[in-house]
Amino acid sequence: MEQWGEETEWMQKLQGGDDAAMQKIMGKYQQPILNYAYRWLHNAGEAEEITQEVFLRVYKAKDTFQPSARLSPWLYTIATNLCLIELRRRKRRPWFWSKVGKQEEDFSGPPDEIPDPRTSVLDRLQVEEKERTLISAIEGLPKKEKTALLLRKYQELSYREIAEVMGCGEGAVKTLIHRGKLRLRERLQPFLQNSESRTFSL
Amino acid sequence: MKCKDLELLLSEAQSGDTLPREAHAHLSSCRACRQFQEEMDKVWVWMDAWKGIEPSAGFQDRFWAKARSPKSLPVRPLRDWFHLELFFPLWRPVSVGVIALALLVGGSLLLRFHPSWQPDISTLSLQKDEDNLLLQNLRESDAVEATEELEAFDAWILVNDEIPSAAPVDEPYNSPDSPERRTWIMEPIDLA
Repeated sequence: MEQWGEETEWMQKLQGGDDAAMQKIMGKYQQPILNYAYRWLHNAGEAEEITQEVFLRVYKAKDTFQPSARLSPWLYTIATNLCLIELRRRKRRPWFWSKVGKQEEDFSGPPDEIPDPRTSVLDRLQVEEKERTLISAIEGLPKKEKTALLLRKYQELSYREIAEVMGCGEGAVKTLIHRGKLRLRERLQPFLQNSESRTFSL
Repeated sequence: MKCKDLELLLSEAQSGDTLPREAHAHLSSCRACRQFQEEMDKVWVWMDAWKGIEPSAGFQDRFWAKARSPKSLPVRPLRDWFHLELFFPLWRPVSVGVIALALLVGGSLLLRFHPSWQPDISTLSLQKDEDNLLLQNLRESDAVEATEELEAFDAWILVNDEIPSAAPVDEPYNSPDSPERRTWIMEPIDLA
């Protein structure tokens, strides 16, 4: 409740013309929104563009914000819509995105962090393989289940907030998350058997 | 409690909800549900493997540059309007069918009721086979007879108040060399 009060106060200040409030909002939400967009688009540049546009839309439509509303569902609603539009646009030009994707994969820039020498190459490959397997399983989920699952697991939104984003009831959100998890379990089943001692196929 | 009922409760408990006492009792007595819980826990933990990314430097500066630019929000391109649910692959065949039907019905109504699209009745009658045949006969086989009748009629219009029994041969108008006559004969006959 305290958190919502703070966000409402920021929005009221922003409506009054205080741009510092917008910086506070961005400071809190830029990384969550960026990661949310990245998990939809798998492209850091595109995800950042979407994140910028989310904040731009909020900034331009600040006067329409109601004090009784909450900020995070609004932000995630805009982000979800923009990501879905971007995905549809990509679907119409698959040849273009396959080239862009390949270029991104081919780009070998400097590593983000120096790998820990205590972890072996094999361990790192296993972690990467684990991530790839998970991503491919999540990618195969229906869009609604994926949205609910991403918002719950990674963005840590409450059922009520997810319901607001998706325009449905809390019960439907719970069901979607549960179904999504069941599907993931089904798809990851071969890897779940004795996963602690299992070495991923490389 | 049934195993199916417990599945949803376990899923909610994973997301932060508390598990009711009956669920604990069922779990302690049901091996299948315990295995299910273990697998679901593994999936939930496994999801942590998907790491996020950090925003690039200058994110906020770029935002303010865009926000203060007069063209901060791009105009939605026309093609985006075709992203509507109506044009999704599932609905596309139905949408195309409905649009084609609407065009067909609209076109028919336009042809039926709009005055500028109504064809001329005389044109229609000329297009009939019988009329074409009559016209052809008049021009070819009955040309002489038609010519005489029309000459007489024309002379009646010019000179008398009644139709003459035969065309006066001494009138200059009926002379074979008369330019008016030649022109008149060569003109197509207007049935209307």
